[in-house]
Amino acid sequence: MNTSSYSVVVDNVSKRFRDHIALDRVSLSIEKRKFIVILGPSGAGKSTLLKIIAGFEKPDSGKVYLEGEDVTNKPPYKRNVNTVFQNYALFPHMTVFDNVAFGLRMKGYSRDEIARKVKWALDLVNMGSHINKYPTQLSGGEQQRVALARALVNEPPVLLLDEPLGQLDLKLRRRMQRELKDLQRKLGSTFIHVTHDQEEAMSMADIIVVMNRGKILQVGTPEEIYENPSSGFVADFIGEANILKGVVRDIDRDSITIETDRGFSIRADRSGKDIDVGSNIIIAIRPEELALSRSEVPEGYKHIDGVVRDYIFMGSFVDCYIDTGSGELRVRLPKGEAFWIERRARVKVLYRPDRVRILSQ
Amino acid sequence: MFISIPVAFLVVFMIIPSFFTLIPYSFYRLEGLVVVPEFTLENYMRFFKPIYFSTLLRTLGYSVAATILSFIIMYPLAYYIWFKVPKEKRDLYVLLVIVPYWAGFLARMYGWIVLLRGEGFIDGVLSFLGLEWLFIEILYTPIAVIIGFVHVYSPLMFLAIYSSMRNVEKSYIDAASDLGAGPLKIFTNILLPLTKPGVIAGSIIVFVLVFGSFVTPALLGGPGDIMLGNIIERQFKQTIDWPFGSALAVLMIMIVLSILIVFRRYLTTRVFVI
Repeated sequence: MNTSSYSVVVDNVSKRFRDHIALDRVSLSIEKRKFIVILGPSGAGKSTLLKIIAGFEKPDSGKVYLEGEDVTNKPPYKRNVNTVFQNYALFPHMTVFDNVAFGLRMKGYSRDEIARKVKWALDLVNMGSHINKYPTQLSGGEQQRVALARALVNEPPVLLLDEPLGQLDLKLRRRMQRELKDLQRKLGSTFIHVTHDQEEAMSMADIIVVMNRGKILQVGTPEEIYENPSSGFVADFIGEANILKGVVRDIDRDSITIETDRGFSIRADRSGKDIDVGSNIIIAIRPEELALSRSEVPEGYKHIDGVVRDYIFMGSFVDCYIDTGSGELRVRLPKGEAFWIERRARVKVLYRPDRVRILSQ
Repeated sequence: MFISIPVAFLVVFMIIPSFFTLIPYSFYRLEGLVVVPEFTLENYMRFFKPIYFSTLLRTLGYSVAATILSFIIMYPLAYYIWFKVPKEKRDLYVLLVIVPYWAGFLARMYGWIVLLRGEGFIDGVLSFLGLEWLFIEILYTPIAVIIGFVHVYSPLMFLAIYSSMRNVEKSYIDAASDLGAGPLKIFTNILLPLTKPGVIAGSIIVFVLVFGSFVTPALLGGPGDIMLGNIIERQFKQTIDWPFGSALAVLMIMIVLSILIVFRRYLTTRVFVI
């Protein structure tokens, strides 16, 4: 593999902590100048992967390349990456200035250069006026910015961010997400960001890497992963989805009929897949791609009969839970289309066969 | 608040009585074997005779050496137990470091005599291995005295450093390493500044305890290896020169107090929370 054309190459890396397998033969090539988000639930191995790239953990097997150089056995201080830590890890005995200057001092920059670069980095994160404060005098969001400046001041080709926004409140988190994305565009370096928040991943990533249980499940743009999730886990984790198990009952040229485990049959576009009658199958339908009507079924739609069990007002939309016989479907309606919904109403759940995703067999 | 009860006990039963005897006696004159309550500075002047002054220097030397050695041994150990030992085993390791401190003081001293004496345990092992040329002859030398001090007091250094070390998060070390600091720079820029209160507190404890010792040099040292404590003991028990003994004791208290005053801002109670 030509590793030098990538920012980071992780090649068949495994890591085990006692009896827990944190990473199971993970391979990943990360292109330069991209914003990568590693997404997964806690315990997925995403932080371990980041620590192995940074050098805080050594893989049991496999190799890590940075800009084409094999760094598998190099300690962190000899690797050209910088990390923003989950708890910020600002040095408590140093001022903001000294924290940010630390990396430059280690590399032996002159006093003038250090002053200039620290100012540049702190201005970049709007913290220029806090230069003489100690970390304990800063709010969580401010500490976050200083931690970011401390990493960015070294102008690393690869910046690693280990759930850095996890401790911020929702509003601040959303703002920092946009700022991080802007920073990455402005600096043109590779950002690798770890999170368990799928909205965060969707809003920031050029490329999302979905992980679970020490394995990479899918790599792709947010759109690709949203539109074509490779598994039930991914479909459910990215956005929301009704995940249905079923058995294929009938196949014609373009479509298949599936008898699901929730008491109804559904038609899905075949989309060129090789499927046998009688095989078990998993399908996903996004709640926002379903609609409800009292009786009429528009052109191009199919329907499933059901009864409204419950509905929950969520702000700009309403989530309706429809009892379909021996199960439930979630339907997400825009606020304006839900005025007529009431509990125990008989409804038709409308779907388009081309929006039913066949995940695996 | 609770600390005030032992402090009050200490003041009423130890400090006030000793000041009522030590300080007046240190200015009294000795005629023959009789203490005459007449003011004199002679007792303090005698201290500057070479024999006593060199004993002060030797005492300081032992104290500094035992302090530095305790630091060199216990700092890496505290680092290791806090950062490398799995969480559930840390308390056990700490206990193992402290347990020897609970053994009787004299038992430990005699233990060292058995180990270090000619044809003692260490020599026995060496001769069994055919390494007679390595025979150690350090019992009744300053080296034996310092070994004794380090063994006795270094657990206190450990406790002080360890309790400071517990405030250092692993992520600080990772962050420093991430920013290009090698092991030495991590030590000087991150670890040492963050554990300074513990290092200073531990150093003061070891220094002060060694400074006032007299049993260890008497048992493990030679006749020329005595400390100020031995001279004071001799004034009270053998030569019966209480005024001079009092003057020496007052001088020692002054030296210790001035060290405590210089470093007082590091002596926070927090340091001893285990």
